[in-house]
Amino acid sequence: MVIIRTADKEKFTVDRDVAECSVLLKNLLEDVGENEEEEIPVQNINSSVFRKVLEWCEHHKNDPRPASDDSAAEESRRRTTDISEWDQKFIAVDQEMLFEIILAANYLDIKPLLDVGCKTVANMIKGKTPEEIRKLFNITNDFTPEEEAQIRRENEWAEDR
Amino acid sequence: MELVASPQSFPTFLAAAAQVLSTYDIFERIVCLDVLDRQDMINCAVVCRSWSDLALNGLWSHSSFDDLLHIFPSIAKTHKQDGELEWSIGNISIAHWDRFLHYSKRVNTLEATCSDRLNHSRLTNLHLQINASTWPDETVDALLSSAETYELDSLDVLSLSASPMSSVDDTALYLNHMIPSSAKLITDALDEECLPLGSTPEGNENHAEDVKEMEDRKAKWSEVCKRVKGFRRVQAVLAKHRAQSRADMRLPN
Repeated sequence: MVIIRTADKEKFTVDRDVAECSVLLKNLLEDVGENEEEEIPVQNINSSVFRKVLEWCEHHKNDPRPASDDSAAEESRRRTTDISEWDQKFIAVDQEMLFEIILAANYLDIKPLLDVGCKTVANMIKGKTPEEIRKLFNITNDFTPEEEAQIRRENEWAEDR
Repeated sequence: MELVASPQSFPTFLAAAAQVLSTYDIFERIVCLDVLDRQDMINCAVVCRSWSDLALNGLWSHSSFDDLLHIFPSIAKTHKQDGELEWSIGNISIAHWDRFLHYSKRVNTLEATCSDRLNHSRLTNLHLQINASTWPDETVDALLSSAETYELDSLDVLSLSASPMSSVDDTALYLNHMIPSSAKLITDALDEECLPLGSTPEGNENHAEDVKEMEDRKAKWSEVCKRVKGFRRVQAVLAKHRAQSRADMRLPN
């Protein structure tokens, strides 16, 4: 077991197998060795998000770990657009939590979880008009109408490819 | 590296969303997943400036030569009776070149292959045809006289699978000008096992013709490759690229 302390000072006692879903934690754990007393701080993640991430890690702890240098497997995983049923239920959270999970997965270096989050955001974008996307994410359009028209005109060929 | 996402782009939205959507690596992951199609990427490209660059990078990353030519004015493509393609382009202004460079710098893999090779009867098509008979002289000069003109600096792979141009010299000259020394030129025309798609040795009355055509192609490419500096034939890349090309390939209109 290992002890992990989140940004809001909450402590989690976690199975090593579960913690090692995170490449960052795995590397930190290698540094501390077998010293189970030592707390591992994760300073960018609060307890509510970390609890959710641990839920994912617990479910996926027996999945094959992606090798850090296996670019083909990484590419294959990214090209698979399906999200498993369990992951779909897991990621059915409000937008704030969704983006917090993505940031946590990025920080902790849990690429399969990062992909689940990114695919979910991509699905939110898919099929929407630019105006709908701006509204969804509250983004201000900083293009002039002429610039927007030019980009559309220069890329309209791509619609039919 | 982070995109420049100004705070006013996300005035009241959640900090986490703003952080995700303005972090280069994460946003690149979102855009480059196969979830979004080309129309989605075009839509993303006009959402705001900070999204535009990445969406356009994804859109143009794997492009064909005629994709790039769409930037130029009054482009016309004609299918000739012998199956070859002929391009004609109107006057190219400095502004058009600027836009060409705006997009060409995003190309990582340039597909200069005969995109209709799935259709066996049109195998002789040469997708990329640059010589004095099909291009106005001044265009050829503009294309070939300056390597800087292209600035395909980000190009990793140039894939050619059709017959080379009628002149080996022209083809080699063109390639030497066009591809950066770091790029890989790959061609399945040198592959012993390469048969045109849809063509099998058994039961194909045109097999002898196919084989001869391939041998001709191979001989020409061998000559071209000897003259192209930095030519490297990478079998693994070729195999992967060909599989992807088959999946991506579309018949032209």
